[in-house]
Amino acid sequence: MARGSGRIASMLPRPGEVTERAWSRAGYAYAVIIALGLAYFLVRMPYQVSDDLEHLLIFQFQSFWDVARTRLTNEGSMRPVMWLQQKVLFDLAPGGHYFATYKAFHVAQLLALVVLFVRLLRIRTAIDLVALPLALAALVGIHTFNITMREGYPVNHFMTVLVCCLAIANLALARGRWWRDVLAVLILVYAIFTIETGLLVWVCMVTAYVAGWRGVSGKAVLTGTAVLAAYFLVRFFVLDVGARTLVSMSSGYGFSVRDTGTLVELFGDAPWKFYLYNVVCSLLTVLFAEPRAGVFQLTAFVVHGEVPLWSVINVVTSTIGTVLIGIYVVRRMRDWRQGKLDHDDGLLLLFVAVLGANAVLSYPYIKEVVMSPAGMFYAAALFVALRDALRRLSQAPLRRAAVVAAIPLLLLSAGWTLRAVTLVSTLRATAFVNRSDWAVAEEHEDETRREWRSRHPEAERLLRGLREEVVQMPVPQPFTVPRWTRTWLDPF
Amino acid sequence: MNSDFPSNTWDWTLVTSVLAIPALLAVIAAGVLAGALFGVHPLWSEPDLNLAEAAAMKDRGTIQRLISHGVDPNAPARVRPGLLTSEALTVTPLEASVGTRTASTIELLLSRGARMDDDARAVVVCLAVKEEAGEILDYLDKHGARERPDCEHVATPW
Repeated sequence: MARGSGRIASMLPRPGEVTERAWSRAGYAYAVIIALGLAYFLVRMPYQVSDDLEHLLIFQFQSFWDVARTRLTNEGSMRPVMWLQQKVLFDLAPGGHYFATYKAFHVAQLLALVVLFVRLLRIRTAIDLVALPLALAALVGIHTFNITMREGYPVNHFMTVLVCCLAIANLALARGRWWRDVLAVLILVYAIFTIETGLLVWVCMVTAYVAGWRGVSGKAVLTGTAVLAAYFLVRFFVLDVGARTLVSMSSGYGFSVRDTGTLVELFGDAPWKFYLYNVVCSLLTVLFAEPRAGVFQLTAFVVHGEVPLWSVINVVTSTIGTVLIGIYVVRRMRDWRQGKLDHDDGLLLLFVAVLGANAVLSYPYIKEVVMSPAGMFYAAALFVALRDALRRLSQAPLRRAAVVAAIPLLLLSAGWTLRAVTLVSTLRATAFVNRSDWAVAEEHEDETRREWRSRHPEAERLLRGLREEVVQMPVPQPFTVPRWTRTWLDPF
Repeated sequence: MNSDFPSNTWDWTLVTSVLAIPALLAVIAAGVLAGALFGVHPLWSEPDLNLAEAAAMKDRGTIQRLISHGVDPNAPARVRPGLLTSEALTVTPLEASVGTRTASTIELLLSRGARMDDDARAVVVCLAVKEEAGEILDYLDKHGARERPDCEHVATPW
């Protein structure tokens, strides 16, 4: 049973009372408006050249089965579903409208993401609805989310993992049905063979079960675990793909990004030290927005004596949010010791489990987008903590307490709103850069893959057609952006 | 209204008002979507640039588009105030591209038909010296290396 209000707080499949349905629908409507608003910017932004163009050229000369055969593994990665999904969309694109097709898929993912996110939060009351805008601002405004919107390869598989995590959590929250078990296992397979962070779907599956959510049965969890074991067996022993290491990619350390040569110089004898650094930094970046991609950015700004306001806003808003979540944890500990877990506790548990596992998966190098699942559940945990605080405040309104609470809430509210606006500003800035890069896409291919013209007789035509499509797209000019925004909006 | 929503006290109103700030995002989103239905795009509009202005802004996308539409890459055009200098200037795209201090725009223009004879080269080099655009000077030195002009005797547009 839920505390305080006396309402049943877990395992309710859908809102029952008319008023509950009204709040719930209002929540969905709000989220869809936000998602469509973001989609407006997303569809107008050209994707980047790197990865995107090369993948399209590959799909032009390779059949589905060629892709399946040759792209099963790459150096340190095993992502066959990622490749096949992109190939299927390429082949399905009507009349050669490749970008439109991939963008439609991206927008569908975004809509699914916000709807599943709101469903997971279970908006049932006015208080829930009051807390929702802040949670959604955190969902789209957190720095780990940015690249899921900004890049397409041409499918953004990081976004795919986010949707899969939410799908599993929502399945687990519903009533148990055999088909939900089957669907859950299929989603797991889809996610783990899409990209390595898909392993977090299994973490969600197990955590939801531990939280007492039985929409996905114990048998399905066991089956999922067997799938995971098979994945590791195939990856490490059958195909010998291995995992990424110190030399895989440049990564942030201290106050700057270090190339692989420097990382080997620093940690060649004891790479575990660097891996530990990455795990700790990954945890910290979600909770406090510092460091950023392994670089202690705000600290560096302070040392150099030039601290941009956006950097302070990032750290302050994340820290206040984390403190609010911490207060919720402390308040609920007594119940947890007695084994009482309600719906909101389950959400918090998901956040903690995904945060930990996500950080561990980030051990070889730090990319902010890799931590996007943890960032997403951070927004859910923030909602839980805020809803709890509002419920308590509503039951015993104390004028002084309300005024005291209003100050951090104002910082939280305004700060996360600004961070969500930052997402839009980076989409605008990225659009300009990407369109500019597409103008020299042919030269880029000549430099990086000299054989590209000979791989398919229509390769040149495809590239030039894509280039012309992109350069016709209007994008905002940087010189039209007011200078004052540079102080407030994070350019990274 | 649900029973757990408190009566309308000022302290509760204060808290909910503060939390309503992110709802501005939905207002903006709704406005953007409504505008798009009528072909109005206040947050995604692009001013019309000519080739010289696009070169000054390192906007290779617009350069590519204009040249593919038949615009002469050698024709001087008026660059609006604030882009290169505080006053309007009439310059060629190659001259304007020096304002970016990088070589990528010059490289694109040359590959798309812009011509740089000795006189044009002298102007570009002297502008690059004036702008301390080392990358452009290096690029010009590597491509068609020849003696640098005496900039005392070369008239530059700014």
